[in-house]
Amino acid sequence: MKLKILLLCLLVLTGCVSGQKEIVTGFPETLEATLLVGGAEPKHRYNISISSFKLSALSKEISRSKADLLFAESNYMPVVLKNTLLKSRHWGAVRVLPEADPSAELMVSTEVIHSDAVHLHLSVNVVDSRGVVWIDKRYSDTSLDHRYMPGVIGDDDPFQDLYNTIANDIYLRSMELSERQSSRILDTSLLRYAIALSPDVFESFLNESSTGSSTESPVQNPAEVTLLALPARNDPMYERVKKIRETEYRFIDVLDSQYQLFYNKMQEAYPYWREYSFELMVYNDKIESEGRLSKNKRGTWESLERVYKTYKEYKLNEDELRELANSLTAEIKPTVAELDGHVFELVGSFSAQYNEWREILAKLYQSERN
Amino acid sequence: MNEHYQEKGTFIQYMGLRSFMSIKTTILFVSFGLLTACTQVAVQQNTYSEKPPVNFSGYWEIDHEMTESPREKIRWLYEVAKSQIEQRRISQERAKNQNRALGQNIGAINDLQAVIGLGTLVDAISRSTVLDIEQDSDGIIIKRNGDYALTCDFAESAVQTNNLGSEFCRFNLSGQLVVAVGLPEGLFLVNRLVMSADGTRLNVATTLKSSKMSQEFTLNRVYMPFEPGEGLYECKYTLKDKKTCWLGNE
Repeated sequence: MKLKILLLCLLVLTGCVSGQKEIVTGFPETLEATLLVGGAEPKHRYNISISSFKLSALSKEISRSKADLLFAESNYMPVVLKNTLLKSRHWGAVRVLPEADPSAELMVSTEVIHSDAVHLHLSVNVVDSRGVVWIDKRYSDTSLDHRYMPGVIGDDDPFQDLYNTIANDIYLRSMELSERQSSRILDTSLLRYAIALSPDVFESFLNESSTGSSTESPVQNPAEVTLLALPARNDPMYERVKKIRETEYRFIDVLDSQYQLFYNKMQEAYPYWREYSFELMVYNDKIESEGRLSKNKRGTWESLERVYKTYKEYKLNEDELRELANSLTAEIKPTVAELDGHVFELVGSFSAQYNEWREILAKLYQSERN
Repeated sequence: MNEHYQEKGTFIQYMGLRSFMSIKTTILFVSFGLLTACTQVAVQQNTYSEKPPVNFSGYWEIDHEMTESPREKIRWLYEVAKSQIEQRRISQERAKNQNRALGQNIGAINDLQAVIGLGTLVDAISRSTVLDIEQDSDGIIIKRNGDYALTCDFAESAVQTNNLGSEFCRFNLSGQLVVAVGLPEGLFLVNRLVMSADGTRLNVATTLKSSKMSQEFTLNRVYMPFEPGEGLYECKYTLKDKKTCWLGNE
């Protein structure tokens, strides 16, 4: 009787697992892409800002413990993308930001639709400072064509093909731009920053259209703008804006280094967790495809012990990642920044520090102007 | 040996939970949970407790006196299985069906090996001597020294299915917290946490079952509360140093 009940359980389990697979098979593509490195030079080496990855609406329904892991991943993946873009040697500074910045020369905003050890599904939106959408696309990849190599820090990510594809797409798009369009992106970027600091002085230089370009993307795109004129080169307020912006970049570099630090720490647990997860998933698939569960064969102790050991290692790494994610929140260091002889200490999350710093810069600008 | 388990019977009465040695109830419970999840049917009120009826929060350390000895339990179940095999053999000899008897005996030897194997595995996976439990109205996390943490989010579905298998957790109306997982190879692991009426003992019943073996194995480990204080070590996890432990009074 017990056995029958158990078999019922297992049938149900199998059904559940199959059900889950249906979700996954919606995007089973395995990408293969080599990163385009060097080659034809783009018109300009744009600075790229990558905002911390957002979780999709689906991900928000998951449990608290899993949410911690997703939070850790959402701060890990942007660094993988950043390192890929840097490796391509097509760009200026590539920075990870806590939030999207509409004045960035190129802003990359990404939503994690699905992430596990075998599948990664991202929705990527790349927009330039003019509000022109370069890319608004979903990318999917599986890790089946790569071996997990935990312990090798700096080794390619199992989803490296996906990151390569994104980097290549951005590069190819940049090659389509004319010289004039490229310089417009740079000018508009600085003007947008200037408008954020002092709208009354600078907003007459840009004409903003009514809506953003993207229709399907969950990411809110900035409205498209047209450059009407430029401030005089020797305009002292415009010069001041440039100086403040450089200060902001230095501050962002400090935050960016904290993202990199977190990425390095994640390397100690995350690849192992993904490897054990990968093994279990592939093992489950194998069992299902061979129909071994329904045959109810007598298994070996070695196989049972191996399954349990893999599961235990997976859970132990999950615990470590959870603690790591909590530590990230708890241990974000205050940033001490100096500006015009004043020292500011900023505390709180990356996002809070970033917003506070921007407020300080805006106030400083206003006080100088007055 | 039997005397030992009579003592355990007394413990079961003490806990007011005669049924917790029965895995059948649990399996039914979990089956229902899994079916519920797959068919997206709401959890029935009379099976699960909507709010956690018991709070397990606190530090718990092993009570060796009340905890089952895995070695003794394995030996006892081994003896029971051996006795059953012997009875089977005698009845088969009477039937003078030697070919069939040979096959049965091979199966019986496998059963004996299964008892030992399951028992050894259960012993290996339930060796935690200290539990650090944090529970609130939203969920529970049971940190176990030397083992992974058991977690449960009460707000989410009782069954979490992913490509690794299925995980189940929920309080039942008896105040038992059931945390179960179904893994490849038909491996099925259930942890049930039950608190005594006076709150001075916590029983963790760990059951292991494989679809490939007719045997199952349950081991009861009993914990008592303690307050970490001076002289006891404390641990903290930091990004820089990872897990660092020190004496409480340092």
